[in-house]
Amino acid sequence: MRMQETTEKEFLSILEQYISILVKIVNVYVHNSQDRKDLMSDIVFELWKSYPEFRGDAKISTWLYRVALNIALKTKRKRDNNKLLFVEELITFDNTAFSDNSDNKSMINLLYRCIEDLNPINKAIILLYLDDKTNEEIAEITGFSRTNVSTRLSRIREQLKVCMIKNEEYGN
Amino acid sequence: MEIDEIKGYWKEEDKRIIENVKINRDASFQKLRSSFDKIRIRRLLWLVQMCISVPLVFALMVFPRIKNDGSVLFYIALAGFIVPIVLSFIYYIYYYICLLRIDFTVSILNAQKEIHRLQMSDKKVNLLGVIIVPIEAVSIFKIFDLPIKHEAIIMLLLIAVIMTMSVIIKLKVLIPKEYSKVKSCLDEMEENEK
Repeated sequence: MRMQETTEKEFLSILEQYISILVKIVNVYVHNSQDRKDLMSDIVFELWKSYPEFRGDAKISTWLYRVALNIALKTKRKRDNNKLLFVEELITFDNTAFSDNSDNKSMINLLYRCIEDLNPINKAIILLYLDDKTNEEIAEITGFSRTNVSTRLSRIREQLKVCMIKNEEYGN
Repeated sequence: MEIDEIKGYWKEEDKRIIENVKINRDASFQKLRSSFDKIRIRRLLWLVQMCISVPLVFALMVFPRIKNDGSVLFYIALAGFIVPIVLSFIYYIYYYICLLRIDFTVSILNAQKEIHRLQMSDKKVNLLGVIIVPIEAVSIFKIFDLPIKHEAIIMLLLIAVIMTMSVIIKLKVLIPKEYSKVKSCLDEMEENEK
Protein backbone atom coordinates (compact mmCIF):
# COMPACT_ATOMS: atom_id res chain seq x y z
CA MET A 1 0.00 0.00 0.00
CA ARG A 2 2.77 2.41 1.02
CA MET A 3 4.81 1.42 -2.02
CA GLN A 4 1.82 2.06 -4.24
CA GLU A 5 1.45 5.51 -2.68
CA THR A 6 5.12 6.31 -3.24
CA THR A 7 4.88 5.21 -6.88
CA GLU A 8 1.77 7.31 -7.29
CA LYS A 9 3.51 10.34 -5.79
CA GLU A 10 6.56 9.88 -7.99
CA PHE A 11 4.40 9.49 -11.07
CA LEU A 12 2.37 12.59 -10.24
CA SER A 13 5.47 14.68 -9.67
CA ILE A 14 6.89 13.54 -13.04
CA LEU A 15 3.60 14.45 -14.69
CA GLU A 16 3.64 17.84 -13.06
CA GLN A 17 7.21 18.46 -14.14
CA TYR A 18 6.67 17.43 -17.75
CA ILE A 19 3.04 18.42 -18.24
CA SER A 20 3.98 20.97 -20.91
CA ILE A 21 5.27 18.17 -23.17
CA LEU A 22 1.94 16.38 -22.96
CA VAL A 23 -0.10 19.53 -23.47
CA LYS A 24 1.92 20.45 -26.56
CA ILE A 25 1.55 16.98 -28.06
CA VAL A 26 -2.18 17.00 -27.40
CA ASN A 27 -2.54 20.50 -28.87
CA VAL A 28 -0.66 19.53 -32.00
CA TYR A 29 -2.48 16.28 -32.71
CA VAL A 30 -6.12 17.04 -31.85
CA HIS A 31 -8.12 20.18 -32.21
CA ASN A 32 -11.26 20.17 -30.18
CA SER A 33 -11.40 20.32 -26.42
CA GLN A 34 -13.22 17.01 -25.90
CA ASP A 35 -10.70 15.14 -28.07
CA ARG A 36 -7.88 16.84 -26.19
CA LYS A 37 -9.24 15.65 -22.87
CA ASP A 38 -9.69 12.14 -24.26
CA LEU A 39 -6.21 12.03 -25.71
CA MET A 40 -4.69 13.43 -22.52
CA SER A 41 -6.49 10.78 -20.46
CA ASP A 42 -5.32 8.04 -22.84
CA ILE A 43 -1.73 9.25 -22.66
CA VAL A 44 -1.72 9.56 -18.86
CA PHE A 45 -3.31 6.12 -18.55
CA GLU A 46 -0.72 4.58 -20.86
CA LEU A 47 2.11 6.35 -19.01
CA TRP A 48 0.78 5.05 -15.70
CA LYS A 49 0.58 1.52 -17.12
CA SER A 50 4.11 1.61 -18.46
CA TYR A 51 5.60 3.46 -15.47
CA PRO A 52 6.53 0.29 -13.51
CA GLU A 53 8.58 -0.90 -16.50
CA PHE A 54 10.39 2.41 -16.80
CA ARG A 55 13.72 1.76 -15.13
CA GLY A 56 15.36 5.07 -15.81
CA ASP A 57 17.64 3.71 -18.55
CA ALA A 58 16.39 6.47 -20.82
CA LYS A 59 15.69 10.08 -19.89
CA ILE A 60 12.25 10.66 -18.42
CA SER A 61 11.38 13.06 -21.23
CA THR A 62 12.42 10.46 -23.84
CA TRP A 63 10.15 7.83 -22.26
CA LEU A 64 7.34 10.36 -21.99
CA TYR A 65 7.70 11.42 -25.62
CA ARG A 66 7.86 7.84 -26.84
CA VAL A 67 4.66 6.80 -25.05
CA ALA A 68 2.75 10.02 -25.70
CA LEU A 69 3.63 10.24 -29.41
CA ASN A 70 2.78 6.59 -29.86
CA ILE A 71 -0.68 7.11 -28.41
CA ALA A 72 -1.20 10.37 -30.30
CA LEU A 73 -0.27 8.74 -33.61
CA LYS A 74 -2.46 5.71 -32.89
CA THR A 75 -5.41 7.94 -32.04
CA LYS A 76 -4.87 9.96 -35.17
CA ARG A 77 -4.83 6.80 -37.28
CA LYS A 78 -7.95 5.48 -35.57
CA ARG A 79 -9.77 8.76 -36.13
CA ASP A 80 -8.69 8.84 -39.77
CA ASN A 81 -9.93 5.29 -40.30
CA ASN A 82 -13.29 6.15 -38.82
CA LYS A 83 -13.51 8.92 -41.41
CA LEU A 84 -15.62 11.02 -39.12
CA LEU A 85 -15.14 14.72 -39.45
CA PHE A 86 -16.21 16.69 -36.46
CA VAL A 87 -17.70 20.11 -37.06
CA GLU A 88 -15.18 21.64 -34.69
CA GLU A 89 -12.35 20.38 -36.86
CA LEU A 90 -13.55 22.59 -39.66
CA ILE A 91 -13.13 25.61 -37.47
CA THR A 92 -9.70 27.15 -37.31
CA PHE A 93 -7.26 25.98 -34.69
CA ASP A 94 -8.52 26.59 -31.21
CA ASN A 95 -5.91 27.05 -28.55
CA THR A 96 -8.14 28.67 -25.95
CA ALA A 97 -7.79 25.94 -23.36
CA PHE A 98 -4.32 27.04 -22.39
CA SER A 99 -4.19 30.57 -23.69
CA ASP A 100 -3.42 33.83 -21.98
CA ASN A 101 -2.92 37.42 -23.06
CA SER A 102 0.82 37.47 -23.66
CA ASP A 103 2.12 39.45 -26.65
CA ASN A 104 3.51 36.37 -28.27
CA LYS A 105 0.24 34.48 -28.16
CA SER A 106 -0.51 35.10 -31.82
CA MET A 107 2.98 33.93 -32.80
CA ILE A 108 2.54 30.77 -30.77
CA ASN A 109 -0.86 30.17 -32.37
CA LEU A 110 0.70 30.73 -35.75
CA LEU A 111 3.42 28.25 -34.89
CA TYR A 112 0.81 25.69 -33.88
CA ARG A 113 -1.03 26.29 -37.15
CA CYS A 114 2.13 25.75 -39.16
CA ILE A 115 2.93 22.56 -37.27
CA GLU A 116 -0.66 21.51 -37.94
CA ASP A 117 0.07 21.56 -41.69
CA LEU A 118 2.74 18.89 -41.29
CA ASN A 119 2.03 15.18 -41.52
CA PRO A 120 1.75 13.24 -38.20
CA ILE A 121 5.31 11.87 -38.32
CA ASN A 122 6.83 15.23 -39.15
CA LYS A 123 4.81 16.79 -36.36
CA ALA A 124 6.45 14.38 -33.92
CA ILE A 125 9.91 15.16 -35.29
CA ILE A 126 9.50 18.94 -35.11
CA LEU A 127 8.03 18.71 -31.60
CA LEU A 128 11.14 16.87 -30.47
CA TYR A 129 13.43 19.24 -32.33
CA LEU A 130 11.80 22.33 -30.84
CA ASP A 131 12.26 20.79 -27.42
CA ASP A 132 16.01 20.65 -28.04
CA LYS A 133 16.26 16.92 -28.59
CA THR A 134 19.33 15.86 -30.54
CA ASN A 135 19.03 13.99 -33.82
CA GLU A 136 20.14 10.88 -32.01
CA GLU A 137 17.39 11.20 -29.42
CA ILE A 138 14.79 11.94 -32.09
CA ALA A 139 15.90 8.83 -33.96
CA GLU A 140 15.64 6.79 -30.77
CA ILE A 141 12.13 8.02 -29.99
CA THR A 142 10.69 7.84 -33.49
CA GLY A 143 12.51 4.72 -34.61
CA PHE A 144 13.94 6.36 -37.73
CA SER A 145 17.60 6.31 -38.68
CA ARG A 146 19.68 9.37 -37.81
CA THR A 147 20.18 10.20 -41.48
CA ASN A 148 16.47 9.99 -42.10
CA VAL A 149 15.80 12.26 -39.15
CA SER A 150 18.28 14.91 -40.26
CA THR A 151 16.97 14.84 -43.85
CA ARG A 152 13.40 15.17 -42.68
CA LEU A 153 14.36 17.85 -40.18
CA SER A 154 15.98 20.13 -42.71
CA ARG A 155 12.88 19.85 -44.89
CA ILE A 156 10.50 20.47 -41.99
CA ARG A 157 12.53 23.43 -40.71
CA GLU A 158 12.36 25.06 -44.12
CA GLN A 159 8.64 24.35 -44.39
CA LEU A 160 8.05 25.81 -40.98
CA LYS A 161 10.07 28.93 -41.67
CA VAL A 162 8.27 29.57 -44.95
CA CYS A 163 4.88 29.01 -43.31
CA MET A 164 5.69 31.36 -40.43
CA ILE A 165 7.01 34.13 -42.69
CA LYS A 166 4.13 33.80 -45.13
CA ASN A 167 1.46 33.89 -42.44
CA GLU A 168 3.19 36.69 -40.60
CA GLU A 169 3.22 38.78 -43.76
CA TYR A 170 -0.46 38.18 -44.30
CA GLY A 171 -1.11 39.13 -40.70
CA ASN A 172 -1.97 35.52 -39.71
CA MET B 1 12.31 34.47 -39.29
CA GLU B 2 15.05 32.22 -37.98
CA ILE B 3 14.55 28.81 -36.48
CA ASP B 4 16.07 30.02 -33.19
CA GLU B 5 13.33 32.60 -32.96
CA ILE B 6 10.73 29.88 -33.48
CA LYS B 7 12.41 27.82 -30.77
CA GLY B 8 12.19 30.86 -28.49
CA TYR B 9 8.43 31.04 -28.97
CA TRP B 10 8.19 27.34 -28.24
CA LYS B 11 10.13 27.76 -24.99
CA GLU B 12 7.78 30.55 -24.01
CA GLU B 13 4.83 28.27 -24.71
CA ASP B 14 6.40 25.79 -22.30
CA LYS B 15 6.55 28.36 -19.52
CA ARG B 16 3.04 29.53 -20.28
CA ILE B 17 1.57 26.03 -20.05
CA ILE B 18 3.30 25.30 -16.74
CA GLU B 19 2.14 28.64 -15.36
CA ASN B 20 -1.45 28.14 -16.54
CA VAL B 21 -1.65 24.64 -15.10
CA LYS B 22 -0.35 25.96 -11.79
CA ILE B 23 -2.78 28.90 -11.73
CA ASN B 24 -5.74 26.62 -12.55
CA ARG B 25 -4.77 24.15 -9.87
CA ASP B 26 -4.16 26.80 -7.22
CA ALA B 27 -7.52 28.42 -7.91
CA SER B 28 -9.41 25.13 -7.71
CA PHE B 29 -7.47 24.15 -4.60
CA GLN B 30 -8.37 27.45 -2.92
CA LYS B 31 -12.04 26.94 -3.73
CA LEU B 32 -11.94 23.38 -2.48
CA ARG B 33 -10.21 24.40 0.73
CA SER B 34 -12.74 27.09 1.56
CA SER B 35 -15.75 24.84 0.94
CA PHE B 36 -14.18 22.03 2.96
CA ASP B 37 -13.32 24.41 5.79
CA LYS B 38 -17.02 25.28 6.03
CA ILE B 39 -17.85 21.60 6.58
CA ARG B 40 -15.15 21.31 9.21
CA ILE B 41 -16.41 24.40 11.06
CA ARG B 42 -20.01 23.17 10.88
CA ARG B 43 -19.02 19.80 12.28
CA LEU B 44 -16.91 21.37 15.01
CA LEU B 45 -19.80 23.59 16.10
CA TRP B 46 -22.08 20.55 16.13
CA LEU B 47 -19.58 18.72 18.31
CA VAL B 48 -19.18 21.65 20.72
CA GLN B 49 -22.94 22.04 20.95
CA MET B 50 -23.29 18.32 21.72
CA CYS B 51 -20.54 18.54 24.34
CA ILE B 52 -22.40 21.34 26.12
CA SER B 53 -26.04 20.38 25.68
CA VAL B 54 -25.95 16.63 26.32
CA PRO B 55 -24.25 16.78 29.75
CA LEU B 56 -26.56 19.67 30.67
CA VAL B 57 -29.67 17.72 29.73
CA PHE B 58 -28.33 14.72 31.63
CA ALA B 59 -27.48 16.74 34.73
CA LEU B 60 -30.70 18.78 34.86
CA MET B 61 -33.32 16.46 33.42
CA VAL B 62 -32.22 12.86 33.22
CA PHE B 63 -30.29 12.10 36.42
CA PRO B 64 -32.73 13.78 38.86
CA ARG B 65 -35.60 11.71 37.42
CA ILE B 66 -33.83 8.36 37.36
CA LYS B 67 -35.51 5.92 39.71
CA ASN B 68 -33.17 3.13 40.59
CA ASP B 69 -35.05 0.06 41.79
CA GLY B 70 -31.84 -1.95 42.00
CA SER B 71 -33.05 -4.55 39.54
CA VAL B 72 -30.93 -6.01 36.75
CA LEU B 73 -33.51 -4.77 34.28
CA PHE B 74 -32.89 -1.21 35.45
CA TYR B 75 -29.18 -1.46 34.72
CA ILE B 76 -29.84 -3.05 31.34
CA ALA B 77 -32.22 -0.20 30.53
CA LEU B 78 -29.69 2.36 31.75
CA ALA B 79 -27.05 0.81 29.52
CA GLY B 80 -29.53 0.75 26.62
CA PHE B 81 -30.10 4.45 27.14
CA ILE B 82 -26.56 5.70 27.77
CA VAL B 83 -24.38 3.42 25.59
CA PRO B 84 -25.84 4.58 22.22
CA ILE B 85 -25.41 8.21 23.29
CA VAL B 86 -21.79 7.66 24.34
CA LEU B 87 -21.08 5.69 21.15
CA SER B 88 -22.54 8.43 18.97
CA PHE B 89 -20.32 10.93 20.84
CA ILE B 90 -17.25 8.82 20.09
CA TYR B 91 -18.32 8.45 16.50
CA TYR B 92 -18.74 12.22 15.99
CA ILE B 93 -15.27 12.84 17.45
CA TYR B 94 -13.80 10.13 15.19
CA TYR B 95 -15.64 11.60 12.22
CA TYR B 96 -14.23 15.05 12.94
CA ILE B 97 -10.70 13.65 13.25
CA CYS B 98 -11.17 11.93 9.87
CA LEU B 99 -12.28 15.24 8.39
CA LEU B 100 -9.13 16.91 9.70
CA ARG B 101 -6.98 14.14 8.27
CA ILE B 102 -8.19 14.44 4.68
CA ASP B 103 -5.30 15.76 2.64
CA PHE B 104 -6.16 17.11 -0.78
CA THR B 105 -2.56 17.71 -1.71
CA VAL B 106 -1.71 14.00 -1.95
CA SER B 107 -4.14 12.86 -4.63
CA ILE B 108 -7.62 13.80 -5.73
CA LEU B 109 -8.62 10.17 -6.06
CA ASN B 110 -7.69 9.47 -2.44
CA ALA B 111 -9.63 12.51 -1.24
CA GLN B 112 -12.66 11.41 -3.26
CA LYS B 113 -12.44 7.90 -1.81
CA GLU B 114 -12.08 9.26 1.73
CA ILE B 115 -15.07 11.60 1.36
CA HIS B 116 -17.18 8.79 -0.06
CA ARG B 117 -16.17 6.57 2.87
CA LEU B 118 -17.11 9.27 5.40
CA GLN B 119 -20.46 9.85 3.73
CA MET B 120 -21.23 6.15 3.76
CA SER B 121 -20.27 5.77 7.42
CA ASP B 122 -22.41 8.82 8.27
CA LYS B 123 -25.38 7.22 6.54
CA LYS B 124 -24.81 3.89 8.31
CA VAL B 125 -24.62 5.54 11.74
CA ASN B 126 -27.82 7.47 11.08
CA LEU B 127 -29.61 4.30 10.02
CA LEU B 128 -28.34 2.61 13.15
CA GLY B 129 -29.82 5.54 15.07
CA VAL B 130 -33.29 4.70 13.71
CA ILE B 131 -32.89 1.08 14.79
CA ILE B 132 -31.81 2.17 18.27
CA VAL B 133 -34.79 4.53 18.81
CA PRO B 134 -37.17 1.78 20.10
CA ILE B 135 -34.49 0.51 22.51
CA GLU B 136 -34.01 4.06 23.82
CA ALA B 137 -37.76 4.50 24.20
CA VAL B 138 -38.21 1.29 26.18
CA SER B 139 -35.17 2.16 28.31
CA ILE B 140 -36.69 5.56 29.18
CA PHE B 141 -39.83 3.84 30.50
CA LYS B 142 -37.74 1.66 32.75
CA ILE B 143 -35.16 4.13 34.09
CA PHE B 144 -37.78 6.83 34.79
CA ASP B 145 -40.15 4.20 36.06
CA LEU B 146 -42.94 5.66 33.93
CA PRO B 147 -46.35 4.04 34.11
CA ILE B 148 -47.25 2.62 30.73
CA LYS B 149 -50.15 4.92 29.93
CA HIS B 150 -51.69 6.01 26.66
CA GLU B 151 -50.27 9.55 26.85
CA ALA B 152 -46.73 8.38 27.55
CA ILE B 153 -46.81 5.89 24.70
CA ILE B 154 -48.18 8.52 22.30
CA MET B 155 -45.50 10.96 23.40
CA LEU B 156 -42.74 8.42 22.84
CA LEU B 157 -44.22 7.38 19.53
CA LEU B 158 -44.24 11.01 18.44
CA ILE B 159 -40.61 11.40 19.47
CA ALA B 160 -39.75 8.25 17.53
CA VAL B 161 -41.59 9.50 14.42
CA ILE B 162 -39.86 12.87 14.54
CA MET B 163 -36.48 11.23 15.03
CA THR B 164 -37.11 8.84 12.13
CA MET B 165 -38.18 11.71 9.89
CA SER B 166 -35.15 13.76 10.81
CA VAL B 167 -32.90 10.79 10.01
CA ILE B 168 -34.60 10.30 6.63
CA ILE B 169 -34.12 13.99 5.79
CA LYS B 170 -30.51 13.72 6.89
CA LEU B 171 -29.92 10.65 4.72
CA LYS B 172 -31.69 11.92 1.63
CA VAL B 173 -30.95 15.64 1.71
CA LEU B 174 -28.49 16.92 4.29
CA ILE B 175 -25.64 14.39 3.99
CA PRO B 176 -25.53 14.43 0.15
CA LYS B 177 -25.85 18.22 0.16
CA GLU B 178 -23.06 18.72 2.69
CA TYR B 179 -20.43 17.41 0.30
CA SER B 180 -21.94 18.44 -3.01
CA LYS B 181 -19.81 21.60 -3.27
CA VAL B 182 -16.62 19.80 -2.26
CA LYS B 183 -17.37 17.06 -4.76
CA SER B 184 -17.94 19.55 -7.57
CA CYS B 185 -14.64 21.26 -6.67
CA LEU B 186 -12.85 17.90 -6.76
CA ASP B 187 -14.43 17.08 -10.13
CA GLU B 188 -13.33 20.47 -11.41
CA MET B 189 -9.78 19.82 -10.22
CA GLU B 190 -9.80 16.41 -11.85
CA GLU B 191 -11.03 18.00 -15.07
CA ASN B 192 -8.23 20.58 -14.92
CA GLU B 193 -5.62 17.89 -14.49
CA LYS B 194 -6.76 16.11 -17.64
